Amino acid sequence: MNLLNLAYQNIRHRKLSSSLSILLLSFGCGLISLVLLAQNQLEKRFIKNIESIDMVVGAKGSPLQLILSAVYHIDAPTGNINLDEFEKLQKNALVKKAIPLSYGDSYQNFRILGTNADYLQLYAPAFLKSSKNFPHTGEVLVGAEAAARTGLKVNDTFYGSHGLQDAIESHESFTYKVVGIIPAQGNVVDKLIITNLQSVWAVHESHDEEEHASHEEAHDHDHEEGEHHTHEEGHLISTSDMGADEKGEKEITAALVQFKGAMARIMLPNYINDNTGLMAALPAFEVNRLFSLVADAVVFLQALAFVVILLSGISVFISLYQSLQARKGELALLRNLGASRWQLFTLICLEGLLIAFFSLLIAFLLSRGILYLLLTNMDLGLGLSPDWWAWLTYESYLVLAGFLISFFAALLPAIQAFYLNIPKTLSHA
Amino acid sequence: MRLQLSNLTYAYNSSAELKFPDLTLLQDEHLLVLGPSGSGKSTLLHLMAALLPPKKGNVLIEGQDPHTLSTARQDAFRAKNISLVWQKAYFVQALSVLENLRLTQKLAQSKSDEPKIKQLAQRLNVATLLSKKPAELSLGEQQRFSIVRAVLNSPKLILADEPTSALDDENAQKVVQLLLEMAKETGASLVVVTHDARIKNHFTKSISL
Repeated sequence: MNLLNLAYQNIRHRKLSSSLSILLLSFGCGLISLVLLAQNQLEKRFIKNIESIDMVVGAKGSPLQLILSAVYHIDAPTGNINLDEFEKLQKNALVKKAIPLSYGDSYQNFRILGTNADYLQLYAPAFLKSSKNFPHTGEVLVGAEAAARTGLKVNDTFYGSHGLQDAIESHESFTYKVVGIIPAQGNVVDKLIITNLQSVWAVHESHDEEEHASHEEAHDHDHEEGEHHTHEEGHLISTSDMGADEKGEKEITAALVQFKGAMARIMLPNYINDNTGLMAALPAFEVNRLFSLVADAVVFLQALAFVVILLSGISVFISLYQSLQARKGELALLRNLGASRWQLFTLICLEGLLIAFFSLLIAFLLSRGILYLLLTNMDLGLGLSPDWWAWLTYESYLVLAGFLISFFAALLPAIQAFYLNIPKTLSHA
Repeated sequence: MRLQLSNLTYAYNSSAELKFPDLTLLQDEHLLVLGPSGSGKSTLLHLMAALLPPKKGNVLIEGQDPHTLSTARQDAFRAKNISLVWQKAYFVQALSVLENLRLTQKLAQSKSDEPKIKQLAQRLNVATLLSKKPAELSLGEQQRFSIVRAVLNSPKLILADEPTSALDDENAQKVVQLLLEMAKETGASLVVVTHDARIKNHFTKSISL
């Protein structure tokens, strides 16, 4: 029976007051830990997905909404933009690369995104290197999480549903065929089904004029040749060569842009916003704005949690203080049996620290459990990253704070035990 | 010589002083100290146990004066040589009686000896209660375990402060009998301080304060 064991038995003996202390302390620490973990996870995932995107261009609307929809695929798009506007942008001297994005359909709530190989170069470069081709029209690559949830496998075929949310209406005239599963990348690709732009256009033309669906391949071919043609001629405005009415029908949802040169950051967003019908939004700026909104909520929650931790400190103090009054005789007895003053002091401190230990243990299990449920069940476009449970530096401070508060709560009772008057206690029971 | 008190004086404060008679106790002798409340019986006991410091005089236990030792050495000396029994039986409430008794051995730095605990408990007819928590026992049962604890580490001196005052006649006689028997069996000297005249007959040597 060493001191630690004795302290543990004493805590167990005071079931109710110990439970209350542990409940309060683990709730306070758990809340702080959860908020820190969630914030960390959110920021990591949000920042990871905008690493190499300088600007997003889309239809006019809310810049934040544009970023959320085009980069994170969690909000509705702001609208559509004409393909010729995108092509003008693509040829701008300040643009290094512009990646088109086109939405239309979804499959079991997973978005089907029409884009090109550049998108995979950005989010799944290793996969792009190893695979032979970007999907042709009617073919799709499925992100890891989308594949796991929908059960789609290579060579499966499926119909898309119109719109991005729940399936109301499916496009039964246009079949997608799965040609590959993209291994988990820890970014937005995991939740996407990726196809080429032509598929998105084709499915909606087939929707408009079901009977002409079979001619789509020919259309695509024309289009590709037309594009090629304009390149050779070096024309700035490609649409002038094409039948304006035919080309004008083609729309995309948004474009992800990488800048060329230092001036682009200063010039291009303003130029686009002022002189075109498009809107330019800077992901880094919008995400920071979002974080600052989140940060306020985080500060509030942390303040709340600290109040709970303080309350738990008071509860630990009351529990130890009261029990000390009730077991002065016990402690005097221990002294009599040969325990030193320091052993009694240590015993009381250990009781406080053990409560902190159990509380922190529960807090960290709880915070990770809740985080797991949040990440897997909330549709934030953020799956589990491999290190979602990992220890944060902040949590070491939290551990320190938990132990310190318990130690100080135990200090006064411990000092009382240290200076216990043995003869008086034992003779005047 | 087991115990020798000489010229022992205790001061509660500068004006109130208590002077105790000199006495010696041999190895196989036991002593009853009788006196009304407030006569300083408990104080005398605490002076013997080195729980209070005397103003003047010495306490010699087996030739050694514990009052000359440091606090830490006093604690160790007490654990090894002296055990105390009080009117109220103190136990660590969170532990079973058996665990309490093992803790007693541990704190006195003696080996954990469960057979000895069981044997003593058997001797006092409480062996079946070893696994109970102290609060589950009657006062008489608790006091028997106090006696087990008092002789467990084979002390030189057992000091009992009103060990029978809370008990009825029958239990009072039994407890004092057991204390004397166990003291004899373990070779300890027993000093009982009390105002309880019911137990006078058990002692050959007694003083009054």
